[in-house]
Amino acid sequence: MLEYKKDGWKAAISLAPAMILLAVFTFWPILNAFRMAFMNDYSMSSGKWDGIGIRNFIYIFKDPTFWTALKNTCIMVFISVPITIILGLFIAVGLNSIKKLQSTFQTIFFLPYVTNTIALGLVFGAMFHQYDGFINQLFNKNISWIGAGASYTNAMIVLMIYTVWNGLAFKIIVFLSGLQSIDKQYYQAAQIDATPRGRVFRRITVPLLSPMILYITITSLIGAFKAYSSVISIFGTGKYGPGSDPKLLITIVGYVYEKLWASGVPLGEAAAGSLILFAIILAITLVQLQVGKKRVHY
Amino acid sequence: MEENKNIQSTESAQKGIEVTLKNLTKEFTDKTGKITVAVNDFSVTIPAGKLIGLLGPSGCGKSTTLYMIAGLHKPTGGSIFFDDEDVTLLPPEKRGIGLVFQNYALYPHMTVKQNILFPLENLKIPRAEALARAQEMAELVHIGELMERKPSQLSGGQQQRVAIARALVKYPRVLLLDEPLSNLDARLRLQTREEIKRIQRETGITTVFVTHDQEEAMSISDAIVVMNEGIEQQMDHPQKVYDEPVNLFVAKFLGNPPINVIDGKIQDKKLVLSDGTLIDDNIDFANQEVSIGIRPEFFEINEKGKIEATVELVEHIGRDNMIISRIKNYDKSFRAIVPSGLGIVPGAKIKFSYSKIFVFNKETGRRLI
Repeated sequence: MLEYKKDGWKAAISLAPAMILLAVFTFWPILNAFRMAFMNDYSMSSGKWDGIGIRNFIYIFKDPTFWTALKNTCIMVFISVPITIILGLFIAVGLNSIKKLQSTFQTIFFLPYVTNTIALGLVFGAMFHQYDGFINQLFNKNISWIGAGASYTNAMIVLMIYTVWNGLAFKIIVFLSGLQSIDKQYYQAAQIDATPRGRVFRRITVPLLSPMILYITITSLIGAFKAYSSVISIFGTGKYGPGSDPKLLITIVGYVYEKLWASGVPLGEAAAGSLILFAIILAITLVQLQVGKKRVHY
Repeated sequence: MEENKNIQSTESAQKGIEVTLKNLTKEFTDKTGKITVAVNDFSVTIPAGKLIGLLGPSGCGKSTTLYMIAGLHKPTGGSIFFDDEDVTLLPPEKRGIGLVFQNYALYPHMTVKQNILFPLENLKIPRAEALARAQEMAELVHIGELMERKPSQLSGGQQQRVAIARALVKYPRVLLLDEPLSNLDARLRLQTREEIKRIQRETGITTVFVTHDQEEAMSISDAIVVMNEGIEQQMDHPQKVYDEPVNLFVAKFLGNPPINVIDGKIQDKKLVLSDGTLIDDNIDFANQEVSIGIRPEFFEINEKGKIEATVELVEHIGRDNMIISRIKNYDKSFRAIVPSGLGIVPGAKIKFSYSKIFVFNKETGRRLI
């Protein structure tokens, strides 16, 4: 122990570069955002504000676009995340149970992970194009998915499929590595006792995988709440919906981003928006950890 | 009707069934196409209601044999019978066996009770009866008061008992144990092996266990099967195998400290050591090179003894002394156990006679005398 204490300055020097960078680019902005959110009518150019208060929050809560963003984000989170996790789990279990071509399929399912999100969005844009898109051609339909006049449901379906596809790869890999670390003897023991497949999955695989499932659930929910790039990669830079309704699928992060660039609008509102998002994520993560304590078997 | 059936299954479990392995063979083919024969033409009959130890060095095919009886490994040749029923092609779940894995494979997220109940869930046994049976098994293995604990809260010995209870709760026809004592410490091992013997006696179930520890196999088995390189060497009552090994491998494998092996030959009906010392002059075998085996406890220090040796080391092992000494012109030293208090010191020249020797053909290892 004493030796470590003597070398304390060495540790400090080693940590310093990272700590300085974190302080400048992470800690200070977080504190600053917190401060700005409660400064009424703050203007960065003049550096003036009109006292401390919650005026920014009141603006936001009165803004219908914020509620649209919140609704869109929540729909995406609570539909796409469960679908991705369940689908990922089944694909991983399937992959784990085949012997031939396992690595081939593993590569195929991992491809979206190494593919650029924007490129993936362009592909989706092309696939769901109204006139020469692959999907409409396949089913011989003429549906406007993401183009002019696209309905909310249609656009949301495309965004959902994109989000699920984009997030699937990482989840499959995590679940697969989790599955491969489960001792085969549990399955042999279950086999000797004539346990049907469904029960093996429910009573053995899922509980033994529960730490991975909790980890994936928490990180996916956080990721989904921060959705932004998925929307613009489908609809194009600065657009959150088809040309006819560019705010149709705006998300909370999109809302905050828009606030930053809108002329004349105080920066404080963007800070307040991000703070609200932070509070939502924090609350949901705490609930999950609480549930995890009871349901997860380490 | 329902009750009747259960009573019957209990009774048949108590009688136990006979397990017959006929020409059982298992070959593993690796990626390069190289074939390894793990079990080679293995035939034994395991009598009903007995406790049998499969014994051999690691890699001898004993665990593979156990897993073939369980049905988890498919034999590449030969067949397995439970009484008269050919189970060779039956999957493990249809064989009615209970298997205790080397590391127990208790489901870590379930309590002891849930672990023991698990096999019964699949049999659709009414809850009340399942609970009663689980409790009965828990009492049998003396873990009745641990039912609500998780496996991680149990000691190795207790986990072992839970695993046995889980294997027995569905009244299997055969109980299989893979290296049941290898994960326990020395004291617990002694205690647990007596427990296994007791549980087997009380249930009367035909039990096969695998071990590389000869002492463990000899102490509790009704019979042991010694295996080497996938081939059965000898099957008999443990003491019989120890006293009358069929070949050099079995003689060397059983006994601690191990048997002493000295080179010699048979010439003109005389058994002589390589240096010419005459051991016996009335041997009815043809001339051949032999290995002479003498167990440490068969030596006697005797002025008229024919084996002359120089003492190198004396170890005090309690009641007896172990003498490590060397016969002149031989590289290897040998061990003899003699009563303590004879005042033997290193460097002393002594003469040994012996109460019993084994003579093996040097090439085949087959026992001659």
